[in-house]
Amino acid sequence: MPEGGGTDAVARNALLAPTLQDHVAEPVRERPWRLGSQVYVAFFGGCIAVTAIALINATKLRVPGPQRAAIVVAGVIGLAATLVFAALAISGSDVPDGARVATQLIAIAAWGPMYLIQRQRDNIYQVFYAASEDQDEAYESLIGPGLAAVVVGGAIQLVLVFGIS
Amino acid sequence: MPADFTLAQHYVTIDQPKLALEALSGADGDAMESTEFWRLRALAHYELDEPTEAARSASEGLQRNPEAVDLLVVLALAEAERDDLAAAERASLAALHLDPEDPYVLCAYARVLARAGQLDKAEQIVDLAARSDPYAREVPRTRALIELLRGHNRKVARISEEMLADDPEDAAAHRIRGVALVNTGDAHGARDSLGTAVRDDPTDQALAGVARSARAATHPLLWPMLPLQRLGVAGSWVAAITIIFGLRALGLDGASSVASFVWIALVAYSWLAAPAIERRLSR
Repeated sequence: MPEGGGTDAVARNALLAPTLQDHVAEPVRERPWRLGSQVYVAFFGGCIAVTAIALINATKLRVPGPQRAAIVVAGVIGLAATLVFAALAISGSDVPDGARVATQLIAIAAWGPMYLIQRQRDNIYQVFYAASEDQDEAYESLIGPGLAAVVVGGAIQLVLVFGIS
Repeated sequence: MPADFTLAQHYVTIDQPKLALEALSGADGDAMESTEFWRLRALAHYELDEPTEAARSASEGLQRNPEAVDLLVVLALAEAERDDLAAAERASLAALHLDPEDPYVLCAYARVLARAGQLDKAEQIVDLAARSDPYAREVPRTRALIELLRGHNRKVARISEEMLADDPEDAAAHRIRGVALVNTGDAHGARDSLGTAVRDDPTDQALAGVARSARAATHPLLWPMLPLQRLGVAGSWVAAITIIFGLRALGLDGASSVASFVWIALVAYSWLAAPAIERRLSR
């Protein structure tokens, strides 16, 4: 056999080695939330709120552990950037024009990688696991959990912002 | 009436699995010993979204003929549908052990891998299938599926358009092109492709629902939303915030207020108008 053919055969055998034997079956899955709707949580609730929602959703979508950790890292970086901004721009109760918007933009920027991390698994859910191709039926409403995250996460972030400034 | 395998195969091919099962219902002892009976029965149950029964039928057939590659492939697809991806992989690899070059078997394994999110490996398996038979229709179909899962919607649209250039009636290509165009916000293109796919299989309620949404998106009352569909929810928000606060930064507070009002009105309108039009179209 020519050398190239032997190399090809080795590569082919490696490719056809089993890689799914640890998969745990879960035919009926909890409905996730729409990824696009998470932007509202980021805008109104800030980094803590959107990180919590993205993390729960990633679990529903069976995003692997290292990628879920990356969501937490993105949230922590976003929160740190918010606090640094608050320390520099806000002094006591003197909140400059646009400060609130700036923190909202930071939260949306932090949500960007969270969105990208969830996207592939969300596509897999849509194609293979959604009980319906109708988006309204395939996804859980984010209104209740989103509002809760906005109120709780937003309040915690507010306390941290004013605590540091 | 004895089992009619030719008729059952015809019904499986035209997506009429209930009729296929009827055609098989008169099977006698000899017919039930054949691989073909269990293959057709498994395929019919698979098409009926009864993966447990499909897997059982495939296993029955494999007890009679353990080297039936077709049965192993149906078993793999049925196990994947049950989310037992470990069993699906075992069946796929057993089929590949018997027929290592078959592009359909390779693509079936790639689909199992794609379901588990192993997209890079799935793509490499599809490359093997393409080398084995560059003209196999299953190769671009599976490649389009993998790109769809990656979110590369324009690439999916391009692959499906190449498939349609070869066969303008390919319903699967119309369907996947339609889904990709929905994702890119091309409502008119999506409506046309999904409409063709629905005409090919009017019994698929899920597909009909997506086609109805695409049709609603092109309704004249939703034309103001078309640019936002192109951008997506997140993109629309980023664009709106950039415009609103960009105008404010330039000292154009009046224009910024108008932009804010227009944005809020558009969001409210999209929430109210789109579902109402879809409900009307579904009557």
